[in-house]
Amino acid sequence: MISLRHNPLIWREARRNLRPQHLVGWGMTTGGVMLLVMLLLAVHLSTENAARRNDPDANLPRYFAYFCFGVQTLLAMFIALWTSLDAVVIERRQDSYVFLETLPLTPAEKVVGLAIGRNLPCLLLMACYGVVGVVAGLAGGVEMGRMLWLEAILLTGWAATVMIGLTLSIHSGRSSLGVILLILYLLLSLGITGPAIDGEGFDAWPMLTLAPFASMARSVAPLEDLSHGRDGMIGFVLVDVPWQLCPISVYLLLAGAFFHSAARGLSRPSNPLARRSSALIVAPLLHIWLLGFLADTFDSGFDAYDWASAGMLYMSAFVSLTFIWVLAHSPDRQAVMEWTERAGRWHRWFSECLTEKGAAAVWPGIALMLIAVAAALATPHIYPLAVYPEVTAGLPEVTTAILLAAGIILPYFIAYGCLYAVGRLLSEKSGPVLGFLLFLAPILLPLLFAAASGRDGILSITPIGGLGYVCDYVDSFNGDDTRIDTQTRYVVSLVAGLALMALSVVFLAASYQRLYLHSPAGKSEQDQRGPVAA
Amino acid sequence: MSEAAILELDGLRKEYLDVVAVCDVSLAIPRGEIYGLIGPNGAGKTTLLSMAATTLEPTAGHVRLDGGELWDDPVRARRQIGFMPDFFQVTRELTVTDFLSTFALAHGLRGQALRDRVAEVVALVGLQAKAEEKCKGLSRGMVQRLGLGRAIIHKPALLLLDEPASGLDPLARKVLFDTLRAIHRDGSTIVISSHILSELSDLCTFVGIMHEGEFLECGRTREVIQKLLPRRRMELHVLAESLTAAQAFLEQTDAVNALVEVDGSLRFEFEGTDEHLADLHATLAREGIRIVTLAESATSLHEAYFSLAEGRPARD
Repeated sequence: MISLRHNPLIWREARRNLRPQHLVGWGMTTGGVMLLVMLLLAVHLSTENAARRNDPDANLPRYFAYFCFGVQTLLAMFIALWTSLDAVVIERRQDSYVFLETLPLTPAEKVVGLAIGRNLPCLLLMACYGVVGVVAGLAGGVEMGRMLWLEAILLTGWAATVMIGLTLSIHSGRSSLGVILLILYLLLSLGITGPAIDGEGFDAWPMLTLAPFASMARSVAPLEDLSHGRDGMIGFVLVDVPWQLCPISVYLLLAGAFFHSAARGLSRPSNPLARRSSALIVAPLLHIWLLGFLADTFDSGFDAYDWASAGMLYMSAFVSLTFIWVLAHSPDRQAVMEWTERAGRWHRWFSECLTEKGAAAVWPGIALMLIAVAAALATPHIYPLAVYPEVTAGLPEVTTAILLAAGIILPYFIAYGCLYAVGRLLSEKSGPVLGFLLFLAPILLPLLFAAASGRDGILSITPIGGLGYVCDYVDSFNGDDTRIDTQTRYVVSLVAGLALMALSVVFLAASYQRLYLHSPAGKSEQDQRGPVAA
Repeated sequence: MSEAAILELDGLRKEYLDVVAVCDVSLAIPRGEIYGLIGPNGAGKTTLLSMAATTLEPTAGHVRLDGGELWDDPVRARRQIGFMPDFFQVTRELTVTDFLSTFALAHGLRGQALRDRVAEVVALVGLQAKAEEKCKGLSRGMVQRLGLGRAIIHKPALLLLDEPASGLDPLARKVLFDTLRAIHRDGSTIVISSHILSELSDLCTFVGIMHEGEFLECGRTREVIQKLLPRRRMELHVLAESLTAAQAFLEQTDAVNALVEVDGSLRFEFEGTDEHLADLHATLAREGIRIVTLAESATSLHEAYFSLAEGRPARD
């Protein structure tokens, strides 16, 4: 095993991204993240201080720790995803993928090299903000243990994010169908439910989306602000464990599963993303995790509200099953490329998919996802968005607003990143066009829905409008209580998200068809010619 | 397995739906030779080389490198193989030296040994002047040479080159082929596919002619040409004072056909072995004809290929 120091991919990326001229780019990225965090923090702190008549000067170190951890969180969950999504796509676009493929490294070494190499600047920045944040937190009276738990959550969250990004990046050059399935899976899994935390009303919460943000808020908030004046414990079957173990364990599980998938993708050109045996290990583990942490919810009985929780449990099981279907049966590159090269019409393409070994299972996978979406829509408390407020119990109300905004922005960001990465690979113009569409969609779609339904509140259910929660909160301080009906926001957000996905999928399908049916893939210029004499 | 074979293909097959790109090919590449792959578009050359380079899995059959199954341990195989694909780009943001160093590091070179080897390869492929420049500033020919440098950085036992001369001007091609000869002298086995048949004829000691996924002929270059073209195309260049005498002599020789004079040289088809050709050379000299050169036309491989391919019916 090559040491990290001698991993050629880490070395290459260091030479590529850590030159003085890159400081400007990374400086701008970090600057943007810092500005966003400062904006949110300023709103939070000003309202908190006004409400509680706090002395801002006395809390300055804690506020600064809050700021550092905020930047760290955004770096871990947003920037790391972006750089990882690009990792292999950029190799394919530059026609240098064959060099990565033929490097004499084990697949695990390649994945580690890409994960660390591509994220070197991100990791360095995270480390700096982490150290400064912990020092400031100690000065501000925040317990060391809570901050270490937070760092563990961020690190495992980073690992899961990077592995998901790498897997998508590796897979994107092989099968767009597979990538679309994975994107659908990710969008659904953003709502994967977490357990109740110490009687604070955490009946269920979307783990992947909100764990780092909620953890940040809970870890730095004064203990007296939490319900029982202490940080929460949760039950895992019969034992009480620190609540932080819940997100850490699911992140580790996902990081491991996607590490395996990424390594397989780099191992052999036509490997599906998981062996069936591996998939069959991940599935029970996810179920054990779900059932273990949600055991308390089962014990509490099912009234009207718990009916929703039961629906969520049911949904989570579906999501984890879908995950297995997607990973174990995602079509391999050769098969999909050949189908699309050869098939003159979509119906033939479909028929080939159905008849080829291994791919037939994709369609039940899609069916499962559709059932899952339908089940979500049928749940009284719309899943997964209806559970967002629960995660913020015991925290200042403005934090709720910020978390809600983040919870709406993040799915858009992930969808954007995934589709952009895939689109850029399909053709030069697809990436920017997709980017433009996705930029317009959150603005245009809610406008259309608002016009159709006559509900102005719809406008705030967008990445931009999501910040309206913060504005609502500020307005409430000025005596304006005309809040938008929350359920309306959720419904429209879900519909808008699905519409956006449908639009993107249609666009992808069009690009896909145009690229492969009108220009023969895989033919170099020389191959168009026959042998010639000099 | 042949004792001397470094690479052995056994019943190798690659299918793309209903298209068979490589059809049950069995072949042994002798160690220390330069093996040329010839064939038209769609013959299966790139597919064959990709399967040997571990970038494409066969539908059926075996690839053995030094007697071991290639796909049992692809990482080990990649340590022994240098592969240059037909179309590639290098990492634009890296310098030439950094680009090569990445691969040297991957092959276990460290410290001074790494720096020395990188400098050696940079010199071998003639990129000293560009060593510290970014790859994005390189011309197509330089990128090809850098790709070759990457493939040989670890002194591979087997070098697989897919159309290495495509897109190069004549001078760059000459430099490339001179470099390949130097690499071959160092002991590497080279498998090369090219459309430029005359250059393959000069370079390759063995040749295989592919057509629609199958090998039509393979063996030593000379033997393949002799088999396919019993009449060898020769060119005799003599001093002007001997031209008439040489023409008269050749017209009376049974083994000589289609004699023509072109720009003071005599071109003809010769039917016979190397010994017969040597006899002809000696007889001409005895007749007092002052020979400058007597050489076989470099287009023989080209014609041999077409004599074979033209007689083949197209496969469905």
